[in-house]
Amino acid sequence: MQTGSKSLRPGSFQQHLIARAHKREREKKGLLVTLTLTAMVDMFAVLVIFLLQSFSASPELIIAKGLQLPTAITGHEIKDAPVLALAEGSVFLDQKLVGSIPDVLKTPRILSDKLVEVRKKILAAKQGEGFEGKINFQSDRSVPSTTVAQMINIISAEHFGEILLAVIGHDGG
Amino acid sequence: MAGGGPEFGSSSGRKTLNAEVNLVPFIDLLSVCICFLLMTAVWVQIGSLDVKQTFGQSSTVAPDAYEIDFRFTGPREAQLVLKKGGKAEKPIALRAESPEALRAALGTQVDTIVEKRGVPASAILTAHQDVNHGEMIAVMDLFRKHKILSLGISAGTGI
Repeated sequence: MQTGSKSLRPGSFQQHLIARAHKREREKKGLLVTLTLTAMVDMFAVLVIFLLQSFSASPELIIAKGLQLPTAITGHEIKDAPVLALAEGSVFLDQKLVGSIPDVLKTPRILSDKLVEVRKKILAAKQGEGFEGKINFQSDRSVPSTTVAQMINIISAEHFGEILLAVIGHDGG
Repeated sequence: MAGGGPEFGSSSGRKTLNAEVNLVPFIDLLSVCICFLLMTAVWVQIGSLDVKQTFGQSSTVAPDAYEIDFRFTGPREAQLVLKKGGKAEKPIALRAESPEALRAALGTQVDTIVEKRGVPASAILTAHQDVNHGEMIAVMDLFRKHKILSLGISAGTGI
């Protein structure tokens, strides 16, 4: 086969054969595809910023392990206050064990002394602001209401007059 | 591969300066942050119900205001008493087949009271050993739905 200017005229058979050979070489080299990830990176950045803000905005209330809180519709936002929890048959004040529920009910002084310490710490930290008397109270929904009422009496005797009963919010129905 | 940046080079054979920034580790870092924050985010709405408790005989209710005294007498029965100025009216007995039905009956009674006499200033709930904390909260929730926001809890006598 002769190659030369005469044989590479447009439309000639030789030109067709050369073009087909070039096309096959390109196909063998593979396909290069680009994917623009700029939008995805922007979306990730916005998500992280949103989650960080919502993570830090609301006050945290640590729920004791195994505790099933009662449900209520009219609950409002939790406040920053000491936490008294009745869980697994024991009483915890700010995650520290105070004693078993029967022991505390029998000898309320066990809990009263701890509450006095907490009150003193709050007064020392908020000098000049006064003592609001707020305390978060967590109890499992199955605990007898009389037990809860007795605990509330012990708490209110130590001037914690605003008791915030922890509940799980749910849609009205 | 993710990257961005200009490439500097020349045709005179000198080494080209590759200023591309590899964004793949950055995307990995963002993915890990998002996964961590999603896993640690608390999706459960935790709220609180206020109970303003006074100790002893002192009362925060004005003498001419109505007050509800709600007392559980059993797991499915209760008594509702209206008080004004320390004087108690005739008690209203409530009985039902289930705690839910008892709450429904209580809701109807409170609707009637609110319609006839206005919203009571406060409500005192007396506990019972056969009634659990969840049931007590449900009754408090019912009172709060009727705008009775000042609630107190009493342990009852003999406890």
